[in-house]
Amino acid sequence: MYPKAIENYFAPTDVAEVLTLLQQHGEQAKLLAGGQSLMPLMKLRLAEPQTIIDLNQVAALDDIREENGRLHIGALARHADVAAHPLILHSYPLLAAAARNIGDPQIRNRGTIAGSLVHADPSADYPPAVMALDGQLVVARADGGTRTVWLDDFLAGPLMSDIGEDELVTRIEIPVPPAHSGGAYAKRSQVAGDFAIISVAAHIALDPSGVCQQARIVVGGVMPKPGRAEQAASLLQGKTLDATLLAQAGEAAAEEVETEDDVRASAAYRRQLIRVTVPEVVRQAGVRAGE
Amino acid sequence: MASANAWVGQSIKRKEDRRLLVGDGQYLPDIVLPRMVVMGLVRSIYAHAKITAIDTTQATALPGVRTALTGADVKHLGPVLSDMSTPNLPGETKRPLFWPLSIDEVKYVGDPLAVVVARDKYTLEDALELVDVEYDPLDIVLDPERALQPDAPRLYPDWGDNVLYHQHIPAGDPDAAFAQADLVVKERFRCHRTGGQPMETRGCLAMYNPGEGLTLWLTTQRPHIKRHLLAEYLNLPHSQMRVIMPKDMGGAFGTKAPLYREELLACHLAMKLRRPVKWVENRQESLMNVGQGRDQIHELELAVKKDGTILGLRDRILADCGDARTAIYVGFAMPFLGAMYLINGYDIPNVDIDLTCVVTNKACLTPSRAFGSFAGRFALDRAVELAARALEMDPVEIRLKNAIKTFPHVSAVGVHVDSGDFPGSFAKTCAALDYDNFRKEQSEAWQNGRYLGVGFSMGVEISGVPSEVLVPMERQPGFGVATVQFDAHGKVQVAEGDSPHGQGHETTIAQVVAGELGLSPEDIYVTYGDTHSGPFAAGTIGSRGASYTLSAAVLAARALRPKMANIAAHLLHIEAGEDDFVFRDGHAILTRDESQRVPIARIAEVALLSPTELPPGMEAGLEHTSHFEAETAGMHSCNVHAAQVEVFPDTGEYKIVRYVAVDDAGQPINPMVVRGQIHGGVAMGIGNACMEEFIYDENGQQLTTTLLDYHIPSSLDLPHIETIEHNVPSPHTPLGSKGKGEGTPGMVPAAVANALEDALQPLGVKITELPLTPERIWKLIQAAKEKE
Repeated sequence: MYPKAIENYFAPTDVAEVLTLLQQHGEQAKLLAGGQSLMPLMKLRLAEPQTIIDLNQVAALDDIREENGRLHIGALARHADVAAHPLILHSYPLLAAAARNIGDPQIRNRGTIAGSLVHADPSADYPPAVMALDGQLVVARADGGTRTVWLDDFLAGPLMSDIGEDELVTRIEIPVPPAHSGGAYAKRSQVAGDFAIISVAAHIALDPSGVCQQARIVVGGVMPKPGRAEQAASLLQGKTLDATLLAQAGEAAAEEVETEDDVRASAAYRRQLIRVTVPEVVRQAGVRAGE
Repeated sequence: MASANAWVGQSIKRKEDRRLLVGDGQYLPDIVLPRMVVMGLVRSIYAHAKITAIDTTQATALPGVRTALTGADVKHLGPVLSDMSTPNLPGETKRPLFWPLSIDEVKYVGDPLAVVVARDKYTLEDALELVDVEYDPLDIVLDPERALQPDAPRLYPDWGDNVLYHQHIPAGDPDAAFAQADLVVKERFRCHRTGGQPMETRGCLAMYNPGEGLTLWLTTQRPHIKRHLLAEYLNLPHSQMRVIMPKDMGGAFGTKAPLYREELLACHLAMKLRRPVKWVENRQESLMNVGQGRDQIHELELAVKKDGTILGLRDRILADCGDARTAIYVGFAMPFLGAMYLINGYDIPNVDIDLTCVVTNKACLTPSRAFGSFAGRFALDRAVELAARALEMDPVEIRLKNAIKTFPHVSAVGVHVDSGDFPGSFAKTCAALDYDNFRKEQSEAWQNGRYLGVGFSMGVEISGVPSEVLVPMERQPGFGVATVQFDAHGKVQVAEGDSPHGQGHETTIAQVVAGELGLSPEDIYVTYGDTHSGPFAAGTIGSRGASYTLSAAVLAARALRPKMANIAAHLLHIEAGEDDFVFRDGHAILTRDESQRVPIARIAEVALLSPTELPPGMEAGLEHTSHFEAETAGMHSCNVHAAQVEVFPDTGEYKIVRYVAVDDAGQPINPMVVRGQIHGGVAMGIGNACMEEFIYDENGQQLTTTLLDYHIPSSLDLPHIETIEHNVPSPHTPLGSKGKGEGTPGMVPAAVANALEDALQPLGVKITELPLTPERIWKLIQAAKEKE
């Protein structure tokens, strides 16, 4: 439980400096943000980086604000800050709920949103939530350019994400939700703060009469990465969210999202939890959309 | 003279808490000695394999590495188990032959096979990775029933089978009982592998010089017992072996009672290297090696009359003891005591218990709070519930019918129960639950598609173990011992031989001694843990604090009063003895004239600082050591617990809506401390029964070696625990106090399982296996639905 020796430790203060260091040290380097995944992996010697680039001194990487119709969340925003931010609580409650569900207070005080997304644990709380909000990542490159990537595409598989050795996620962007929309998130876990057996994030937009205009449902806790329940979502389109319809959506989601056995639960039990949780979460999202 | 003790029954704040809450605790890893080096283990990555080669040259070549040893290097120390470190139980016992490091063959994942010593932990872990081990994997056996088959892989080929221990415990005439029964309940119950996992892992620090010998700071519940076993093993004169439990220890729950192979290695290395050697276990090692308990299969039968009377019991118990290579308990002492305590609070006169303990390629069972009885109490209280259901009897009624009614009671298998009151405990439990109304609420809920249930468990909890039992079983005394010693300033040191680590001895012993001597708890300081400064005792095990150790402190304090009275009388220039004085408010006060009084600090001053003022001929000093042995073959408390649940059948999830614990502490010394013990015990019981499980895959790899995977509940996962006192003072302790702590987790699994099954009555679900995960409950509901 003691990491291997580190040869270089850097604490750059701006993004350009981070990118230069990444270019110099490339595959030998690991970025340290909140350290909530990296440090345990290093202590277990599953990660043995030669170089640590500590991002915690980089200025202005933890801003949370709305700009040009999009919510910007700085890469270093801590889970606790996301969970308690007035703007997020008001307009993106599903994101606040996901942040609140992560680990314990110590983890939430240190862990960062970009760190969690780049780590790409399929049972983590953020990935399904950010996917349900159609979130994108803004990635800075060493050559000075930036690219924007959908989280769906960024997540490549369990603990694998589409990030180059010389790249840095600088922020998450989420479109400001339209009027009459709302989201919800719920996780089923064995004990509080644990990774999900399954989790469900849903975002619903209604027309003024309460008919569903758009629905996005994402299921976490499944392999190789959170899955969109497209058929379940399309069932809701153009309809009023009554109990029968919600149950049908739960059935559809349970059918279409692939589940597997692991130490936490069987595939069959996961399907059942999806069947039960999707209606609960969609219903709550619908209520918020109608408020 | 038994005067009322003014501090007994007071919930004063714990003396321990200030230092613990502000970070001033003094734990083993905090101790640093000059020239200290650190030790680590290379552990097997296979569940069963021949070691074909070990190469330590690369590891020892690393700068900063002091030495690396393999099994061959420690073989000369001899086998770990001796007569002194093996339980001496009736029945057929086999003894595994093993050394501090495994030689030639490893038997579970985590088995230590080499040890490395380095200047610091970073270098140490680098070096551990450089030890090159070649294995030739062997067939493995992980299932206890498979272990019994003639063609099963063998852990110890010279045994002829995998049976570690077997005992048949018959009593009365069980065949006649079953012949007379109107109903026979027969069921197979399975309790999984779970147990204790203390916040602080194991660790030790060994220091040696040829003049004084060996000093071992050790996370242990039993410093004196470890001392004499270590001296024996290391072939040191007893005068050259000292064990010190650090002031604070982050819990033990039984896991720090055995003697472990790592401790022997640290001692050997300290002697070999002439440097202090420290070992601190990491969490993975801890989850891989200790705290694994329970793990039993019960095939249990009850012979029951129509009126609910239980005439007899048969149980075939199969315990999976793992590799059985842990000294003192050797994996089978727990199942043995569990079998002896199987019938527990029930008065069942005819019994046939057959216990078989087998070895498998898993870690050895270690003691875990509720020592051996967790699985059996689940099985019996479940079987009683099934009997009640079959007879359409109320679960409270059937328990009251069969509970021990008259005290003292000797169970069919010879367990002595001194005092208790089950009817009174049930009355309080039912009142707290508003039980009659609950049944109405439950029927209404069923009609509305909601599933509410209530479940009960009852049992007796060990309150220390007397010498009469402990000497033949473990070659150790059961007495409590304490030295009460005034200092020259009127304060009192109480030295005990046990090693509390969360039980609150510093507070409760201070309370009783203060009360006996007319002082305040602030005047009393309790010391423990060092074999060179405290009296010899068996250690902090089996709820012996409030029963035995504290009683010894009371007797030792009382023994000082005649001398204190004589000094007071001499200072007052009067003729008077102990009966003429009361000790109150820091004074010895003459009862016939309360204006005649002497400060107790003045008495101590005369006894120690100013002995020329003593009565002529009186010896200086003011101290006494008492050894307390209860005049009975067993003390117990009688407890009733109940859980009220709501089950959500779509997912099998459930909520423990209420948990009511009606417990008997005899005479609580500090009711807040007692409540804390019960809260902690119920929390552990719920974790063990509902969430925690040590899981091995088909290759014997343990999948739960981090706290991310081994799910210990936090406050967010636990219900509010309602504690209600129903105290029946023990007739055998000076204050009527009873021990509290060991047994509580054993009450939980049946209470919760009975409640879940009760809630699901309309669906016809039967619960026979632990843990009670939502998935298990959901699967049972699915199976019941398919049957329809």
